Amino acid sequence: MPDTFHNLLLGFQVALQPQNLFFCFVGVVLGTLIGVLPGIGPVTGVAILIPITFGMDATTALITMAGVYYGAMYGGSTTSILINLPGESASVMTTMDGYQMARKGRAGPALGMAAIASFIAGTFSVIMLTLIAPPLADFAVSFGPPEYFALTFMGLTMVTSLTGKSMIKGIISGAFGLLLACVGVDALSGSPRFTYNQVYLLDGFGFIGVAVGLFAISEVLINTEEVFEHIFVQTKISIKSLFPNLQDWKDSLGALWRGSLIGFIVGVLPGAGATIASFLAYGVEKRVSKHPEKFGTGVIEGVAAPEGANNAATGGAMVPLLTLGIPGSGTTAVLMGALLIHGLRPGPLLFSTHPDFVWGLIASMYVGNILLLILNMPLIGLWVSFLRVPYKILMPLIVAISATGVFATDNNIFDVWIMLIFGVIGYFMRKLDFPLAPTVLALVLGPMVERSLRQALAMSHGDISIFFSRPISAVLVIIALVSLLAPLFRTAWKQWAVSKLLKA
Amino acid sequence: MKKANLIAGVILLLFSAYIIVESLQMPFMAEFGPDYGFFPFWLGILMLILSFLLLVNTWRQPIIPEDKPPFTNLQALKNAAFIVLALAAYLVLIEIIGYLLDTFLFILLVMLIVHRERLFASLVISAIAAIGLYFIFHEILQVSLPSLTDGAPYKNLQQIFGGTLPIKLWWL
Repeated sequence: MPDTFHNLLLGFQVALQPQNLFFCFVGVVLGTLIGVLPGIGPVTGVAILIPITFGMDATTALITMAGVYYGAMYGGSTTSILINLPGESASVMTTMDGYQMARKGRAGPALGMAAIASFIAGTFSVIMLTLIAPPLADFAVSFGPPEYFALTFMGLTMVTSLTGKSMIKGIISGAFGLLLACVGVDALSGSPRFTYNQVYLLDGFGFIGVAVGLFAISEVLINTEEVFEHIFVQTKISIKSLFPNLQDWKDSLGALWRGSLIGFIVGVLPGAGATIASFLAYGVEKRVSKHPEKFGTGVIEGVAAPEGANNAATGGAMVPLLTLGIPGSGTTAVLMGALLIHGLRPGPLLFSTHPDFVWGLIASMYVGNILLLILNMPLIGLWVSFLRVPYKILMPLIVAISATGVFATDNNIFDVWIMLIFGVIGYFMRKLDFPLAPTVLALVLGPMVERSLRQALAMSHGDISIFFSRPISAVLVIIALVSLLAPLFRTAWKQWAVSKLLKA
Repeated sequence: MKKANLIAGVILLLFSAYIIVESLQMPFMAEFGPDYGFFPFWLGILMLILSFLLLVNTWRQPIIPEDKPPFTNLQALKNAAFIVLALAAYLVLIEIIGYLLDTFLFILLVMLIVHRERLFASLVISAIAAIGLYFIFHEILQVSLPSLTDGAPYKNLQQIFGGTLPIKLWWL
């Protein structure tokens, strides 16, 4: 412990050097901008920066890129709350209650809470990173395919059983997403599926095109009904109104620490990142809430939990990267690439051979979180003022920005066609009361679900009991099944109780 | 709404049947574990059961008077259809007339036809928006966007004028 503290002090000495401080600032600003713009996510942002940071010192370069990473987590939530457009997959859950809060005129507190939750959770996860990196890395290594399947299965069931009024429609939505994930070249066998000889489909449906189409474009199409009546609540946004009130704080306290914890642990697991952390946090929050039915209508815990979780996960994702050399997510994979380019080999030796780098990086994350909080509070007023722009102008702009952003990911027009098609699909889904979130989440998790299922069954030679014979996996699967079956039991129990009452 | 649910259920039923048929044509089991037909097949079965349940549930549900049928506003439907078509046209044209012009036209048309905005205001707003977007994405973020000079009409014009045009249009 005293050793760690000493190292951390060393780290702060590094992080607070003017050059590093400046570039940390640049990183978080750029990251926020990238997060706000749909279509360009943290992976792209960090990747673009690699050549730009060639000339820099390794520590400075990584500080900048890490800043972009968690800055983008914050920026993504801004558009989720304001225009129901998730900036990247980790912000999808924030749209559920965040956007509803904005519609009720509470965009300020929602954004404020998102910023604060992100800060608290981010700082928490860096503290955890400082303290328990090695033992947690050991635990993560014990996760095998059955555990990964159980984890992703649980994530999916929690989301599908929680969203919307009809669970059947929720599960259909999720299954649809999983099927979408099957399109493309299968990773385990190398054979193309559902591609119909289209070269563009070999990589499957890109998340960005589907998500932006399903959420943003369908929203625009739905809103054509209200074009002439649609008025965004014109409230005066001052710095004061940004702060969640006392009641909000009381409500969110539990959400904050639960979200942080879940986020960090999930982030540590290689392969599971901010996205699944945010769904799990939202699901758990809804489960333990005294008023679960209000989730989805604009409750502040519904913003605090996923936002906290996705930022905590970024800290968590650094653990396997720095201690094991295993990237925990797409973005950390790019970060690892950057590390290698600068001649640093991530892994257990990194701590001993380059302590100034590692602890400098960790210390910079504390600094970055503070910078983000300070920066974004005043900027929130700016973002919210966008709401004042009449919807008539905003609407075609949203379409144009979405199309451009989606195009920008791969310079491929086909992605934008996907966006259009899924915009239409999303329109029908909304009209028919099919929830959208399960589809998108299933699309993101699908490959991992399938891969771990197949690997697990291959390990056990087709025996399903493998999921129950391993303790971690068993626990997760049972939670998942309970999630699915509980609502059914609840309705059945209610009906039984009512019928008993009537007979008496 | 009930009718809409029934139609949705039938469509999903057909969709799941299609998935099952397609996935049965893929290898089901490989030597050491499931092959790539396994997952979509079971998903298809799941969807089949669920769409069936949906149909059954909808059938048995009593009609609730407050349940609004989803597609009543004709004007809204026309607007939505227009936006979809305009976006499709946008995508077709983008590599022919370039990003700037195409985006300008798209925003202009949507504002004029869907929002029935005044001509002058629409022109100004579309111009500002298109230029602004171009600036942010092309200049600041260094994204490469299709330019007018890459498209066929421009190249044809160039040929007619024997090489270069009298007016410089590189900025489009």
